[in-house]
Amino acid sequence: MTTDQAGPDVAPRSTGAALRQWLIGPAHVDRLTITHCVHAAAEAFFTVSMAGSIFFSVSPDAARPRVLLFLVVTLAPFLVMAPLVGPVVDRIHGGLASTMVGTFGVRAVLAVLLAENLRSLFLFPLVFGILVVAKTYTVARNALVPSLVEHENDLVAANARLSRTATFAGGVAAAAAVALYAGTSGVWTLRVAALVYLGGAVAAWRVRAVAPRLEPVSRDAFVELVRPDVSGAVWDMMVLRAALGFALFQFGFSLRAEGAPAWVLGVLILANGTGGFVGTVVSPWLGRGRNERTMFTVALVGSALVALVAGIVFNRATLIVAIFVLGMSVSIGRRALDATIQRQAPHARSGQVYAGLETRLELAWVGAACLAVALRVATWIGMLALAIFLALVAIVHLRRRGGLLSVRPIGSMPLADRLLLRAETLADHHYYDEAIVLALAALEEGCGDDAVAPLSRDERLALADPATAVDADRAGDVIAEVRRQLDGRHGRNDRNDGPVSTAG
Amino acid sequence: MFVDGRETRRWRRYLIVAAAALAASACGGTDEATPIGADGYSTVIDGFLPPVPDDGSRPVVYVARLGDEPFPLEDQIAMIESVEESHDLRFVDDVDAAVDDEDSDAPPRDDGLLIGIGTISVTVPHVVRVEVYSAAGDIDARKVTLSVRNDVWRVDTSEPIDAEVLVGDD
Repeated sequence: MTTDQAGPDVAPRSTGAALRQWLIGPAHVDRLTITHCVHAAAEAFFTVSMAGSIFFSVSPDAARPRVLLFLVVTLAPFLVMAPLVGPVVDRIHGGLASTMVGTFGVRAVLAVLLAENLRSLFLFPLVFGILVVAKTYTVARNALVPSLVEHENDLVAANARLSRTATFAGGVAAAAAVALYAGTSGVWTLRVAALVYLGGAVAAWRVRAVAPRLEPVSRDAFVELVRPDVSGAVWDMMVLRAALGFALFQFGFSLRAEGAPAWVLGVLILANGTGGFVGTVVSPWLGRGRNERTMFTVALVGSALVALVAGIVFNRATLIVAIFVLGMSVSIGRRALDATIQRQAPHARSGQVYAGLETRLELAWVGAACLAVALRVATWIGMLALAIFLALVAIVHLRRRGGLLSVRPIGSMPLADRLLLRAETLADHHYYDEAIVLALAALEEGCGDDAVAPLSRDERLALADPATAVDADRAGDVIAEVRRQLDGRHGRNDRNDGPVSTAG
Repeated sequence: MFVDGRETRRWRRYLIVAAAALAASACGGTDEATPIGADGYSTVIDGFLPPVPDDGSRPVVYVARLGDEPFPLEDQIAMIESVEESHDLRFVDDVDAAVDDEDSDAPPRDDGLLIGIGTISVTVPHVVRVEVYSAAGDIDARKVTLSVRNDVWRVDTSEPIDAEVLVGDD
C-alpha cells in the first residue's frame, strides 16, 4: 500500500515545485488545500480566544448541564439531517463546495456575535453553533476530496497532504493567535478569527469553480461498504474518533475542576495537533509493505497501551504524551481508512456515501463527548477509562482481524449466498423491491425446485408494477425466509456460515 | 445484514429519544434560580474583595460554595459580570482546585483570594457563613447578616466566627 504518493499526472521539476506539490498538491486539489489551511488557521484563532471566555470563570459542574445540552443539540441535527441533506447536496452543482462556503460564512457571523458575548451566557449556544458548523465543514470537505483527485489512487495522498499542510497552517496561526490574545484580548482574537473565516469563504468559493457535479450513488457502493474489512475499518475509525471526543471533553472538564490553568489545555490541544501531524508523516512508513488493518492495529493497540501507562503513572507529562499518541493514532487511522476505501470500495468515494461515512465518524465523536461531560471523574480515572475502552476495542479488533485473516474470499461463496448478501445490502438502503427480487433469485438458485416461495404469485406480479410500494418489513420477512431456507438446505445452524471476505 | 439495518434504524430512534431526554434533563437541574438570587451573593462577595492594585490589574478571586450545590450557571455569570471591571472572579467546585498545594503556605493560585460562601437563609434575618482564605492558617470566617429593600441588598453586620470549612494545614 502506498499512502503518500504523488498523483500520476504530477512530476515536479524543481525543488520549489516539489515543495509546492508536497504542501498543496496538484491543480484542483490545491484550492481545497488552501481552503483547509484557512479553516485550520481560523479554528486556531477561535480556540485561543476561548481562553478569555466565561467558560474558564464558571465552575465546571455548573457548566456541565449546559455543555451537555448543546452537545446534544449538535448531535440531533446530524442524526436527523444527514440522511436527508446528503442527496440534495449531491444534486446541486458544486453542492459540497457551496456547503463549505456556507459553513465559513456562518462561522464568520457567529464569531462576530461571540466576540460580543464572550463573557455572557450566550457563549454556549454560539460556541456550539460554531462547533456544529465546523463539523459540517469537515463532512463536506472530506466528501469533496475524492471528486477532486485526478486519479483514484490519489485519495490517500490528498487527504494526508490536507492534514499535513493544515497542521502547519494551524500551528503558525495558533502562535499568532496567542500573541494577539496576550497583546489584546479574546474579543479581538475572535474578530480576527471572523476575518479569517471570511477568507475561508472566498477560498472555498474558488473550490466551487472546479468541483465537478457528483455522479449518482452507485449501488455497488453500498455493497462495498458492508464488506467486512471496509466496515471494520469504519468501526475502528469511529472508535478512534470517539476516543478523541471523549478525551477532549473529559480532560477539558476534569483539568478545570482540578484547578489546572488554561495553558495546560492549550498544551494538550497542541499535543493532539502535533500527534496528528506526526501521524501523517509516519503513516507512509507504517503502511509500506503492510495492509491497512495493521495500521489500525498499531493505532488502537498503541494508543491503548500509552493511555494505560498514563492512567497508572499519571501526571501532566504522561497526559500530554497520551494525547500526543492519541492524535497520532487518529491520524494513522484516517490514512488507513482512506487507503481501505481507495483500494476496496472505489464506488464508495462518491460525495453522498462519503458524507454519510463522515457523519458516522462525527457522531462517534459527539456521542463520546456527551459521555465525557456526563461523567464526573478525576483526570486519571478518565484516562484509565479511556485506556480500558481502547484496550477492549483493540481486543475486539484483533479477534476480528484473526477472523478476517482466515476468511474465504467472497468469490468462493455460493452464488445464492452472494445474491442474498446483495439483497440484504439493497434492503439496507431502502431498495426493497429490488432486494426482494434478488432474494427470490437467491432462493431459486440455492434451493431450486425445493424452494417454498415466500411470496404469492400475485405478490410477485405486483412487484413489476411501479405503483406497488414495498415496505421494509415485507422485504425483511422475505429475506429472512430465504435465509432460513438456504440455511436449512445447507444444514447451517448459524446465520453466518463463517467469516466472509470480499477480497479476491 | 438487513436485520442489522433495521436494528440500526431502531437504535437511531432510541438515540434521538435519549438525546431529547438528555436535553430536557440538561435544561433543568442546577440551572433553576436559587431562592436568593445573584444580587444577594454579589453584595456579600463585594465586602470581601481585595483592593485593586495601582497597576490596574484585576486581582483573582476564587469563589467556592460551602457545602451545598454549586451556584447555578446564570447566577455565577451574573456575579462575575457585577465585578468584571475590577476583579477576575472564578468559581470552583472544590476548594482544592483554587489552592496552590506546591507552595508550603498553600495560598490561593495566581496570588488570589479564596472566598467560601454558604447559603443565604431565605427567612429574615438573612444570614450567611463566609470564610476568606488567604493562606494555610490565614482564614477569616464571618457570619454576615443582610437585608433587602426594594430589591437592593446590603450588609447589616459582619461578625467573626470560627472557620469550619476552609481549615488549612498550619
